[in-house]
Amino acid sequence: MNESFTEQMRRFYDGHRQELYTYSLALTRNHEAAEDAIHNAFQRLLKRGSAPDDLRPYVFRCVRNAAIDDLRERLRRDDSIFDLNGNNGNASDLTLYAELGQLLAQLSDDERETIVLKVFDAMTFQEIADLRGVSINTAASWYRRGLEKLKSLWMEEVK
Amino acid sequence: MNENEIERRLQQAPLAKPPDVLNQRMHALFNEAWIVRSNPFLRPVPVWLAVAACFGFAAIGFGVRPLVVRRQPLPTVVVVVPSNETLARLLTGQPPPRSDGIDFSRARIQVITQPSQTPEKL
Repeated sequence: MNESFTEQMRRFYDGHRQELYTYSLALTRNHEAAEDAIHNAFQRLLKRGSAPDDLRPYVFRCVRNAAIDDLRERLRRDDSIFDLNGNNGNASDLTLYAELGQLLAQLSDDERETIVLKVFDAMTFQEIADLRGVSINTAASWYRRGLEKLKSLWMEEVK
Repeated sequence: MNENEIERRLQQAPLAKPPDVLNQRMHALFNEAWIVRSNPFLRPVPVWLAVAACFGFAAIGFGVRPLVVRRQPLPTVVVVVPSNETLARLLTGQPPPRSDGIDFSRARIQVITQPSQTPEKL
């Protein structure tokens, strides 16, 4: 419980900022809220002064709790987790990602959160289950159902 | 597009990057925490420690108090009874005469208070 803990937190943030931001943005769907959730989560962690050895699931859970707290205060929730303004890819790709972002927004919170954790944060179903406090089957089921929904929503879009 | 294709497309999608302002806020937060943690006078004290310190100092206070606060000696009350035969018999264990009781009518009460030698509180 000294400055090494602060350094440990700083290193963790520097190494996982993209994953944390994507996750927080997927939960809040609001850039400012996503930022605040990460900031508040680390603020609480630093105030507490200690954390378990396995930091990753713990910090993600803290960010999740902070994001849920913040959700009650925000009305606008339509920001995409994708970078649609950058120079990555051509116009058709950006259109596709914008559509995927909109389809993701139509999933239930559990399904969207599970897909983000699995696809973008490379978590296993076991890690997701531990993070959410559910069984591994439930986590896998949210993921499978989410992808199925994305597929059917995509088919409707194409039609 | 099947599920695998959707999964692959999602993995290829460019993610929104954490804005610079977040990184600035986070580094300010870490720097502030580092300053607080490196300065013992700024560290937060756990509630249990504060409560324990209160009890500890209270116990020490009660322990030290008799050393610094001199107790006021209680006044001694002495009943002086003029000597008579009945009383002398009673004190020496001899049976008193039946008719005579101890006469307290001439007894006087004397209260002896010792003057305090030092100031009451140092």
